[in-house]
Amino acid sequence: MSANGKVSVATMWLSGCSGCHMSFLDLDERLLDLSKLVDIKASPIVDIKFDQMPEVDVGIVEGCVNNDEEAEHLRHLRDRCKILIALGDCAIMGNVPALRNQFRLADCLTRGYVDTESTQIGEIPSDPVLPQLLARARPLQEVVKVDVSIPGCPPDADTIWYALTELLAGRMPQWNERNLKYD
Amino acid sequence: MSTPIKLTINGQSCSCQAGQTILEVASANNIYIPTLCWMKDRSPWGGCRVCIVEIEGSPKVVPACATPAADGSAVTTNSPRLQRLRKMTLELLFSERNHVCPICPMNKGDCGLQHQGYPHGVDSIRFPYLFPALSMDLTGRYFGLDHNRCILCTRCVRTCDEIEGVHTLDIANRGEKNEVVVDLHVGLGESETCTQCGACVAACPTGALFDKAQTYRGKLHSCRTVKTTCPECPVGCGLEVFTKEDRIVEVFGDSDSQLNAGHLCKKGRYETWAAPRHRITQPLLHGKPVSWDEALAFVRQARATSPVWESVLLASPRLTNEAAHAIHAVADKLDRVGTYVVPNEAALVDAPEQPGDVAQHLAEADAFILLGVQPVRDHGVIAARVRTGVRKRGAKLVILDCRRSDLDAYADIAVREVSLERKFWARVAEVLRDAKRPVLIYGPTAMTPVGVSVLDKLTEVFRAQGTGEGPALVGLPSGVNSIGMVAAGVEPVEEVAPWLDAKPVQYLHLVLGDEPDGGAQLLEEKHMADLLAGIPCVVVQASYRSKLTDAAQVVLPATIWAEKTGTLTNFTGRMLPLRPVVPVRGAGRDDAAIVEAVYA
Amino acid sequence: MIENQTITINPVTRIEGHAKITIHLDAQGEVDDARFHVVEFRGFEKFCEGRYFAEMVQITPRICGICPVSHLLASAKACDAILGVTIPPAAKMLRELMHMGQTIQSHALSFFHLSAPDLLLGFDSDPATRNVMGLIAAAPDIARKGIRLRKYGQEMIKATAGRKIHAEFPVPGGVNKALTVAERDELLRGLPEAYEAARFALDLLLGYHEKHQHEVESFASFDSNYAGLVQPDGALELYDGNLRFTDPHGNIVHDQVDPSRYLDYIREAAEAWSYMKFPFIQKLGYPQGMYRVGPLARLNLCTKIATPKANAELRLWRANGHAVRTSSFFYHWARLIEILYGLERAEQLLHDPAITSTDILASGTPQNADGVGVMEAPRGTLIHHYWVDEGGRVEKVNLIVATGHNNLAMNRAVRAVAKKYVKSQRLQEGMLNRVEAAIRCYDPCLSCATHAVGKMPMVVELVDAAGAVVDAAARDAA
Repeated sequence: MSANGKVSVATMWLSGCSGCHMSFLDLDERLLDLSKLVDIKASPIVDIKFDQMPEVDVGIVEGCVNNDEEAEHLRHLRDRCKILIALGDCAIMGNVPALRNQFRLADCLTRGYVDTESTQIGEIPSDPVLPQLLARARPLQEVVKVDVSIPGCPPDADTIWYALTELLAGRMPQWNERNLKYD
Repeated sequence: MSTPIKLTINGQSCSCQAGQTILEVASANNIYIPTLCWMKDRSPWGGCRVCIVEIEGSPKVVPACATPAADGSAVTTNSPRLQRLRKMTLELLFSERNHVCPICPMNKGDCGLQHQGYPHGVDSIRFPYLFPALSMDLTGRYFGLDHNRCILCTRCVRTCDEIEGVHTLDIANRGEKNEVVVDLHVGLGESETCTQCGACVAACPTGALFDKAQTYRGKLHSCRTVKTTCPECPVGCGLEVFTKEDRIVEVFGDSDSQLNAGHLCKKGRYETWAAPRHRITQPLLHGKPVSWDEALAFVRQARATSPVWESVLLASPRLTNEAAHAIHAVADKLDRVGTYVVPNEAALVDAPEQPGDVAQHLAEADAFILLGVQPVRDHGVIAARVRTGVRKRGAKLVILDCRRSDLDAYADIAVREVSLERKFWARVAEVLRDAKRPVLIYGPTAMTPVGVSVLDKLTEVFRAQGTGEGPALVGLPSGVNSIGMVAAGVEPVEEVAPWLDAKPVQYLHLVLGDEPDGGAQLLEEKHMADLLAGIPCVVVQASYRSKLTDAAQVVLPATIWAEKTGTLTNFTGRMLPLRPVVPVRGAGRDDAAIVEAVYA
Repeated sequence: MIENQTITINPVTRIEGHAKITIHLDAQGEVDDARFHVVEFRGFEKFCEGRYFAEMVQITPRICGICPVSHLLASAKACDAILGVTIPPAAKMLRELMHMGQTIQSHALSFFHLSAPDLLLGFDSDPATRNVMGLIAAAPDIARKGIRLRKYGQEMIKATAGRKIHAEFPVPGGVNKALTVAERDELLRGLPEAYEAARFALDLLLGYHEKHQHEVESFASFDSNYAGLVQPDGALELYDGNLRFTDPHGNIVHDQVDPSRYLDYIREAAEAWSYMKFPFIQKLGYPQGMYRVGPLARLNLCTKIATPKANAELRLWRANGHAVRTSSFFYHWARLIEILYGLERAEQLLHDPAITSTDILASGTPQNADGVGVMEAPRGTLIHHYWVDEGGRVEKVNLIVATGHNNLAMNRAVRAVAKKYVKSQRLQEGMLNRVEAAIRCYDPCLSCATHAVGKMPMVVELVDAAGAVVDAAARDAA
């Protein structure tokens, strides 16, 4: 809880398309209501860098874990939040980014940076400034404990709203055939 | 009659016959048990474990689909424990392969696995994903197989084996290497046994088997559906056509149709809609699009300058009864009207002789005799009935005077040319000795002198055995509606070239309707191309473009089966309805209306 | 003694993607080089192999949730080419309408949600509130306008395609849903308010231009070539058209290039330090063949805009002898003019009675061994190229995304800003934000750019000549 009585939230974008964050922005005018209830302490849509991230009540993560930095960021957030939400299918199950798990990473890189028809000067990126890719993309739960899952690709704004308002009311979202969608 | 038994399900007392499964009893009493691998009219498999139930006094849970109801038992279909186990089972199914729902064609409402995941609250998977490297088999013409989405429920395998009867699909390997295989591990497009009936796709609860032409074109659960009659052969199977935005998205067999009970062959399932064809949507005059008025004016002018005795109309046997009557009604304005049929079809369609309930005869037959007929090629659903009859019920199969087909492999006797020797018929008699419910399926060739002698011999065989009435007779013409056309008074023409060439022709009207090849088959007959080239005015009325329409002076666009209202007469003599499924495309018109307009 | 140093900014926030920036200082503490690193790679060009080609239209939008419509449509166009069909006119109109919805929403997001906090709250304001939530608190009316304009774009996508993000709507051969009269009328009703919001944003920005003329004109301003699609008469085009390339002065170098021949003009280079490749104009070589795409490039290279309101704005763009606008800051302006074009074009489409036709899908099976789909995504030219076998199995995939084309330019922009604002080894908040803002001008969609494997939180690191991080700058990734 922030000093102003609002619930503090951090959102994080790992390996995904950012569609879940866009769906969050699809809350549209409800964002105005939400801003009265929550303080967004860290997010790709705000300006705060990760190392400044304070303890938060709720951590929301989109995307799966694709490289060592992402795994580190995720553990960092897990340590600092009370409730961790896996937002969307990539975070929950790997989804499209995990399609690469059926291939050797080296083959993916070679195709991407050397063999593609338009590539004239090929080189596989390897500078230490870049994170190390994991052998396979991993759902969040393989790395940290997840408290709430919001499936969907992306979950639509109503679904996100339902889950957030339930949590703000101190309840866990209950999923059933009326509100659950994997698409 | 089996013994009646009593049991309770969720405290509700139910009675049933011994041998009925718990699932059958529950469903008869309107008690819902979730299922996934179970499928109506297929043998139970009990593999998915979604239909598990508890039986009082037993520590185990059992699959309701594969467990016979026991007298005096108390069954529970829903409990926290069952919920927990079902949810876990579903999670294991999801974790095993690469179920990437968002990109699957069955996503958003057409997937059986999703349908179970939602009510069970599966919002995430507690087990590690295996992410196995799996392939997609896209070698088949009409459908593909994506192993990533397969849950190994075997509905496709059982359907292929028990309904189409070809057993192309099976399961290979063990444990996590378990997978559906085609024949001895070939691609769908390379299979020698697959008939492309697509029943496996219709049976698949997920997107593992999918129709290529259907992908992403519309969710079946939200499509409009129309039940109509298959226009591809004289069997007249019931179709269930799915449409979205006035376009066909999928065609399945109508499960309420007594004849095909939901099953179809490649022709009905795919050739009706999934084979891309060049549709003609506007009248053409010398290859140029024109209005109906211009096209009709030209045709009337051509008729006016051609004497009646040199004017001819030749029609496809695919037309509706209504079109046939329209043609018959204008016959006096032409020298002759005919419909082209295969050799000997005239005699067959002239006197259709059918037993009462063909579906039942086929379902119960203990011996099939095929004579001069090509069901595998021409009447796929009948071929499926024969195959399953032989393979599942042990029915005898005697194939006389038919082309080679996969049925030969199951036949007790299969001969291309029938001998009239005593020794041969002694063998036939031996095979058919115990047949109580034999069915004779015959085609046009049975109408030849040789065929008639064979029929006589068969009659002798059955008379000698004293089996009473002899076999049920099922005559299968080759033309879709040649029975109806001939009944309407249109002359069947077995050899088109001599028929045309009998007298000089100035004006020829070819009414081809929605012949898939646009009537190009006519050009295959000897001398036909030359003959047509020599006729000053050739009017082609067709739905699809072909060499024939390219050569015609005038092309009149005809509607296709899915746009028509009318009837077809099937091989049993029943008039079956064609219902409009989609609106008419372009300027197409119904065959009967075009004929009426031309000769008004 | 100060050696050469590197400053790292990580993550780059308020852009749609994952990146870091390193600023390399020389021994004098002056900026030697600045690099924009994209740190995510996902592997689409490999893992799509073996899939059924029709699925590509569903798989590739998962590259990016901000402009999924671009990938949907480029993919559908590549699949149309594989089928060898011409899609029905209504299908093309509906796809274009959907694309206008996306152009509106994506540009509105870029301006109001991501960039307006800098412009309205100030580059040097408190980072804790310098974001859309801070904007909501400080200027709720402006925030509401922006939110509603983006919403209108999203609603246009939803009405057309049935869903806002990752719709299942374009399919090879056309689209699978017709627009109902009710849906059309609802969209028409929303137009006046959307026009008003677009006008409001333009006035707001032009006001800012007046007040900060020098900064605006010189903000990461540099010469580059430009590339983008145009109509046959050279007018601005976002959905279809042919490629035009111009030189830094706006002179046409190649015109009406069939997009399927992109490989004859564009090549890519890879660098060890970024997961985003660097496309360049082949004839000019690497890295001299740098070019810019996207709103600024499109306005610089088009002959005119075919809708009146946007064309009037284009005249202002060209006023005072500006053949081209070179400051990266003008991306914002170009974006707002394109919102206006999107609204006008949508209005034209909605008033065409053919838009509610149900003749929206052409059938076919793969006829061609490969297919190219090119279109103008909000951020620039997007190229999808697939090779398939007879059964429709995808054998190879090549993708060049909008943000990728700008990679060289973004690096140049970062360098320009760094040289101007990094005067000592001390890292000041306003400076760092300006470096980020330079990137933000390009509105880089790094989820797009990293279709290959990776992502972009931003880090600025100060690295000395020996490669050691001297000032970790308290902005390094945790």
